[in-house]
Amino acid sequence: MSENFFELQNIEYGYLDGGMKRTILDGLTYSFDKGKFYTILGPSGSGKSTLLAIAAALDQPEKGMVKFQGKDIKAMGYTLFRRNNIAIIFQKYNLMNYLTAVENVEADMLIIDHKVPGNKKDLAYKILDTVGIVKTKADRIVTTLSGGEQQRVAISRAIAKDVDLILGDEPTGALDTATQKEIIKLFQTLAHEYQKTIIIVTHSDEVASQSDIILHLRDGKLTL
Amino acid sequence: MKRIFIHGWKSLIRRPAKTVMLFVILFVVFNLIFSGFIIQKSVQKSKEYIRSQIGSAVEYKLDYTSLMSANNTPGKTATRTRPPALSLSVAAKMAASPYVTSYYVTESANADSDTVTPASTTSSSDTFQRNFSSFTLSGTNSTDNLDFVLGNVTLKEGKTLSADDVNNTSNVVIISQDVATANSLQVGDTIKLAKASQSQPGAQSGQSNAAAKTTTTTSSSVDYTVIGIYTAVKTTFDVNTIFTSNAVIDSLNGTTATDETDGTIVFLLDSADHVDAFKTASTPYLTSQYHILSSDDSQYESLTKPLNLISFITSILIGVVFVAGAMIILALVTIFVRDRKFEIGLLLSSGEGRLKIITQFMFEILVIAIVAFSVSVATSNLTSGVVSNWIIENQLLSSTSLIASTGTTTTANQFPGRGQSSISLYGEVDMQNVADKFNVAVDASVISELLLASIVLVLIGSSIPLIVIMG
Repeated sequence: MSENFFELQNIEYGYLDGGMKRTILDGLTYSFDKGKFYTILGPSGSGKSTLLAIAAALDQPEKGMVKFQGKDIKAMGYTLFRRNNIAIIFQKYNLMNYLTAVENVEADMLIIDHKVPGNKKDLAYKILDTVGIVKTKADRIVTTLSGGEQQRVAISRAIAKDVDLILGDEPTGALDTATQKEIIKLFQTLAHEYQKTIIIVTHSDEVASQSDIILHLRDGKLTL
Repeated sequence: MKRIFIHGWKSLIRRPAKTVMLFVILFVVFNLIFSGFIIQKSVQKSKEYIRSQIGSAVEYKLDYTSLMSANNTPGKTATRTRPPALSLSVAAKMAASPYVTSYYVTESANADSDTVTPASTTSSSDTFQRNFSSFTLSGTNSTDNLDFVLGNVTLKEGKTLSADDVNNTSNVVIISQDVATANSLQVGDTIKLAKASQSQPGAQSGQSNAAAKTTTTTSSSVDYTVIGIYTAVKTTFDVNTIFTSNAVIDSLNGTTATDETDGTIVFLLDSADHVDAFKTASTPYLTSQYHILSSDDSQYESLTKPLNLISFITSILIGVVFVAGAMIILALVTIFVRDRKFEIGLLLSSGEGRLKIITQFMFEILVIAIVAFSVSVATSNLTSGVVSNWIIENQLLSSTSLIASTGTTTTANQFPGRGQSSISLYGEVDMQNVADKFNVAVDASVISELLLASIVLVLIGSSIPLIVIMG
């Protein structure tokens, strides 16, 4: 078991609601291991998206620390952390709508700091093929693809970045059941075969049941 | 960095509606501003031409208006202010200015002759200005008489004064072709001249001195050798003017040279652009409140009045369009950037830097701006041409107040003195030439100024919303 891969230490976060301070995350602490598929369950408004935003360095906690491979991501630099160490998949708007599928996958390869070996376009086609997007579809503008196909392209982007941590905020929320299952299967493959750490937040028990570890966000803390 | 340009270019060509919308806005704004700029340039060129045609002469002279006003002040005592003479030493100080190429002190005297009759002239004012004497002697402190330098007359035969002639007070003169023909005179001939009495009418034009029995040449005549014959270039020039040196005039008048002069003092500058600077620097040397440095600004101001009006209107146009254009671009970019908030969020979540995202958007806007700029330069040349033609036809050539200037005549001291001379100091301005200058070609300097204005406009309009939104 790999330790200290990704840690949330004593995270606190709240906001003012009609003059009263409302605490969303209350001293939340958890360590995530490599090569596991996690889901975080919680009712609507429990702070799942807030937690993911903090984990993805899109927001800062009031107190506490986020550590990646033992290093504080604040010290690392939030932009650099996002650029080179994680990939994020959202429920919607994962793709640049004026680019083709293959161009979207290439985009992240152009952003990361380390050089991608070989031809980026060829690699992008390959990755898309592994998730079931053939070349003819890969050359189409992404808005002409179905919802499920678009999420596959988004996952391909994450794979193309070649990072060990993939975060998802309700990535299957807008998909039908059949497509949901295909996407979840991809996540399982990424975790178990490619040793990626997948952490997705969801309100769906069905999705959660297919993950390795289900965490519950309750009273501002994560519990099993 | 590569991503910025690849995605920027793709964004432009794959979202043509937004690209075209921004292009149209920039094209219209640029056209209006450029047309205004081109017209401004035309106005500037025309004004420079007028200034150069009027010339770069500045006269150190008596301010008769102030003096007469002072003398006519109600309640003033019977003692009137005498006109203060000009100072040669003050003139020498002014002439030390780096802008002065040369200066001319022109003494004058009225003279009559027993042996020479004046040429007939069409202007009766010439006779009046000579105080009814036959001839006007016009002197010089150098080897050139001012009228030769200004191009009012040109030498036809013989030579002008030499340094020896000036230094040794040689009794030599240069007469007009008209006088030479009327009296069958040639270079080398001798004529007799005497100082005229101011109160007595001399020979009238066409009338010999012998016939004018009432002519009183009370001074004794002196022989002068004709060394040159000139022809008048300006049709208004008094051909009964005889050129000589100031020393000869002093001798004729029976006076000795002092620091004071009743003549005219004219400075010729290296450039019409330096007139104001010279006047500013030299005005402190003036020793009397009734002395001024005159450069015929009234002529210039009269001729440039319609041009200044056009310039004023186009300045307002440029200002309004620039501000309005910047605000429109600002609003449009704000809408476009807000419309791409998901794309921005996606790029930020992927770890792209804010500055690079701003750079991509600026790149897209600048590409459109460059295309709009190029097309606008071509079309604004056409639109400004149409406007310029209208201005030329309806403002420059048709205005009755803008008749071609024949310059102003300056007169020496009008109070009792040795005499008067009239020198036409300022050039003629042909309004057709002014109209021709008004059509300015869009050359490299104009394009570079337009490019700078365009870049400033686009940067102001686009960077503000980008920085605010991305911040």
